[in-house]
Amino acid sequence: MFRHNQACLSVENLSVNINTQDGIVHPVKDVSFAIGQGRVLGLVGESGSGKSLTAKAILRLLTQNKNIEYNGRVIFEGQDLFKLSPASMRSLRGRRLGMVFQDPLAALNPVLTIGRQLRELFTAHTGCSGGEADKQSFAVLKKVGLLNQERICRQYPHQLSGGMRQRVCIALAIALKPSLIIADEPTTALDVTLQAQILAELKTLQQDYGAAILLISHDMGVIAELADDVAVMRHGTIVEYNDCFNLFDYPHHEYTKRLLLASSLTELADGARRYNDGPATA
Amino acid sequence: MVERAAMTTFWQRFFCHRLGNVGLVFLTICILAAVCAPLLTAFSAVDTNLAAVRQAPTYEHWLGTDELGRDIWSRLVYGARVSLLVGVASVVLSTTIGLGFGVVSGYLGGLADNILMRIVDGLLSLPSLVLVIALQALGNQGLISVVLVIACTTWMQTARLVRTEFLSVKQRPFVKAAAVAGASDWALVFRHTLPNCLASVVVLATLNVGHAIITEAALSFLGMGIPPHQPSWGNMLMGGQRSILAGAWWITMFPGLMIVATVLAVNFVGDAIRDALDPLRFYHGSTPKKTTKAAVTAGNEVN
Repeated sequence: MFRHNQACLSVENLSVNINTQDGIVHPVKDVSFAIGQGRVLGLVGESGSGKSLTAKAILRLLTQNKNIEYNGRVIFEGQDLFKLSPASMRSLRGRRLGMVFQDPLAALNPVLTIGRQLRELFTAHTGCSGGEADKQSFAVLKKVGLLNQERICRQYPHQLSGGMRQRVCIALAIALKPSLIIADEPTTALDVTLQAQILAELKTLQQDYGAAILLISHDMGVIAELADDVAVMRHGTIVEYNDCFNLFDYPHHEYTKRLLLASSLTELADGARRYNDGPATA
Repeated sequence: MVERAAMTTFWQRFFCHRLGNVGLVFLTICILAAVCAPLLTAFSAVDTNLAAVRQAPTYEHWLGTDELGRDIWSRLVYGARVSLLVGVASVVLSTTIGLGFGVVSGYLGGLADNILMRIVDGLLSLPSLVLVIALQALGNQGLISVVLVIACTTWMQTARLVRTEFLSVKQRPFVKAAAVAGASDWALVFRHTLPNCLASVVVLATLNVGHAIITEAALSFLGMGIPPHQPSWGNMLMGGQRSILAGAWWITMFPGLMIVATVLAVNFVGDAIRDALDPLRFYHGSTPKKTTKAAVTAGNEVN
């Protein structure tokens, strides 16, 4: 549908089958989409609709065993990721492909300082010296809006606040200027004000670096904020795929309409609550 | 507190642990005494003196003499060499084997994991003392064989613990995150997964030190450990048993105290290492203690 001329990532007929004792389940069925360079694709859907599994399948993060089977093609910068050797996949990860996880505390190694974790990323991919890596770490932490970088580099993940942790995770994802960032519910673990800040941050970074983002969320508000195109997922299939404005203005699928209605209902409810909590002087 | 924890290295965190420091000082003194044994003792640890049998502590024999007239102090100091060596060497060996086995098993998974763990189950199902005695009866007796035999019979628990921890840590998101960041398999295992398993392994290892010292004592008692004339704390403890009835408490008392104190000291050091390995535990572990103390004093004042 939206085949851009230079697609950064195109997923073609991706299916994931899992063999269970009760038969085969198909959490992801025949999913196709494409993300142009420097574009943001929002992948929305309720929990269990297969959003995260799609992302994990793209990165080949699912545990490899005989019970899980992938089909389809994932073309990233002209290469089929499913056909790459583990070594070349490893060199793409982190360097060309970044990922931001939902829970930043769980996504950071608790026994290593932030500095160690950043330095490792630089030394593993660029082969630069420790001092050079530290310098680049400070620069990337500054880029995500963290002050006092030297201090943060000496701290452990549990010593940072939730927002700082997610900024560190974003720093880790963008450190090597990847061309695609997969953000799996990057703001779900944060409160609303932080959510807005982090989204704004992501947006500037994306514009600075020209990276494409696959933004996974269940929150239509987050999608509206950031995405250029939107794919709505339900029961493992994409039920609607359109550009952001068209989707919000003219939803076709019944499920999309209900999603939009649900999010506008919560906003209405929020408004009502604000009204009720307001000063009683009137 | 955040300020303090923020800038700490492993050693700074280690030295914040008070009991750990006590344990470390005690162990250092023991090791120094064992190394400098000839300088600290006036009597031979092996020569018998039938003219001075079962003497209570005197000016000449500080800790008394045993049933063959050997000086307890000398035997205690020389015995430290054997006991500490057996305790530490066998635990280093068994933990190394256990770590290797557990990591391989947890990393490979599947059939290999199954086979390796059934081997461990099989060995664990044999009563360990019987196994120790059987192994010891096969080889020539002596210090090295005692170390080997104890290591060969205690590594299974470590292996099982390492495997379990490894499997659970492997599934945690930061390992996946490191994989997404392009970390090599080597880095994933040795920098991300294994360090997060070490806390409980260290605790088990320190418990095993005590276990090893006591197993050595049991083996010596059964005549399958260190040859009786050569002093070890276990040897002394067992040799002095009959003399307790004769009222010679000092023969068993001092080696017994040394075993208890050493095992305790090793446990304290183990606790300190565990806390130092885990910055989160260090941070949380050091604050509540203060508050509880404060709360207790506050409670007392109210009463």
